[in-house]
Amino acid sequence: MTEYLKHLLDPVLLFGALGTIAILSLVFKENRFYRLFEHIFLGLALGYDLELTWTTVLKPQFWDAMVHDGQWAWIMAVPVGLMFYGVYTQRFAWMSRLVFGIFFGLAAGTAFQDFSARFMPQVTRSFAPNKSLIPPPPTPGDPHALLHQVSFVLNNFLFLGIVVCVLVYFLFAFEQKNRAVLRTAQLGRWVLMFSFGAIFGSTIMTRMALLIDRMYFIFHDWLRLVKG
Amino acid sequence: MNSTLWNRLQTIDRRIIYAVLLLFIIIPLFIDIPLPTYPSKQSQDFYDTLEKVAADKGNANKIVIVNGMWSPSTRGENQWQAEALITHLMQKHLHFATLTFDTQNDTVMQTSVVEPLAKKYGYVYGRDYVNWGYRPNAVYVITIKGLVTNIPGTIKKDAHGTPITSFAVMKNVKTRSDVAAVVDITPVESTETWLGLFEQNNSPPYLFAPTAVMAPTYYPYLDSGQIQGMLTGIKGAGDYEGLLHTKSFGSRIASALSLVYALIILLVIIGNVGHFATRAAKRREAS
Repeated sequence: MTEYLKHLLDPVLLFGALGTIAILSLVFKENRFYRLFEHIFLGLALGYDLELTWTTVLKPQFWDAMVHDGQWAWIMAVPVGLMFYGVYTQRFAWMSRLVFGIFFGLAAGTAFQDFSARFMPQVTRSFAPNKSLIPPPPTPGDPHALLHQVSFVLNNFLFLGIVVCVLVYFLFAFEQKNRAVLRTAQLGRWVLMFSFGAIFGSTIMTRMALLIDRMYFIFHDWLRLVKG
Repeated sequence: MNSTLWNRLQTIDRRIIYAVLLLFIIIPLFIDIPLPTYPSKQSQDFYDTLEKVAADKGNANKIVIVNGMWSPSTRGENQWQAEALITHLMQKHLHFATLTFDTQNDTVMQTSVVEPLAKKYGYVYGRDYVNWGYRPNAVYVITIKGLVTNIPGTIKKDAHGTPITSFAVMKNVKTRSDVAAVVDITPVESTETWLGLFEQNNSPPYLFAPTAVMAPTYYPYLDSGQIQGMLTGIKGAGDYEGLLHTKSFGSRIASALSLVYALIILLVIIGNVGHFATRAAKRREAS
């Protein structure tokens, strides 16, 4: 058997290549080859997740700590965890409500901090006229300083205009009969469509990058037809 | 006759389209088509931020946290971002810790990216970098919150079960103030938690490497300065490789990606020409 044939029949590479071809075959037609590998992948992923969760998390941090390191208080996690399953019976549903309530409370408290830290900087940045509309001093030696300053101001006016238009579009509390409001909302809808177009373009980039990667695997890693 | 032609333009068999698409992807793998590429501002900012972090002598005993949420399913984008990032960290002798909340990430990140590059740049485990390992997604929020005030107490042990306090690289790393930067390589919405619960007044610098499909929704965070730089999918990885002068997969597929975009634009135009011509023909027949 030649070295190249040995490489082609390497079980890991061969399985990867067959899996890639099988999954991609769906775009031409639904078939059993695709179904087989879909189930294999699902089973593999689930088994891998379970094994990793036990070996890297539950065993060292819970089981070993409790059984070997004398941290017996971890046993309390078991009845608390079981309380969640009370939701499946009417008799013990109150138990699940108790733990769910505690977790909801914790999550709500975190959400307050999370929300303000994430969104307040954006709100203040959007409505800071001194920062947004007055250009920064020109960079010494910049031959296009005036152009940069003008574009800075125009860009920020555009930004403010778009923010207002989009916000008006989302005013659903009253019927938009006024012509000015209606037109502003329409403009808001148009700029939203532009942003959706940008997202669509980026989606294509992601999907194509993943496809190119798979082709690279087939032709470079497996078939070794592509150099470099 | 014309009407049939326009109809055909709108109903090209999808298998033909897929076959042409595959050809447009495969050909640039064999033939190098040099197309000019320029780094985007976000990629340049990403690079510049890490350059600044490396130049600041106060960061000598700090670490960069590399949070990886990706798995083989988005390898085509995230692996190359990760590779360029780790290359940059090692070139600049920055200490780093890898962390993940995805079950598959740890193995892929270590075997495909970190370990080969550590060999290349002479990075030693425990002295120059450490792998904090995998944590379940269920404890994501509480882990990020814990890192703010008590990193050793939150992480406790590395991926191999060794207490992290025993590593030289972790000697001075106790709280958020000992973190030089956070880099999130992700195909999921993990950024919000870092920005909401870990960052304080945009410190330490937060850098973001998402898949391209996610990128447009994060521009407000860039405008507000909460994210200091962003690598947009494989384009961002290619930009970064260019800035580092280490041409790899990201740079190589730039031409394939450009050709595919050209093909898709052409197909959209063909479909629209067919649609409008058919409509015009129907109107003429009606009148």
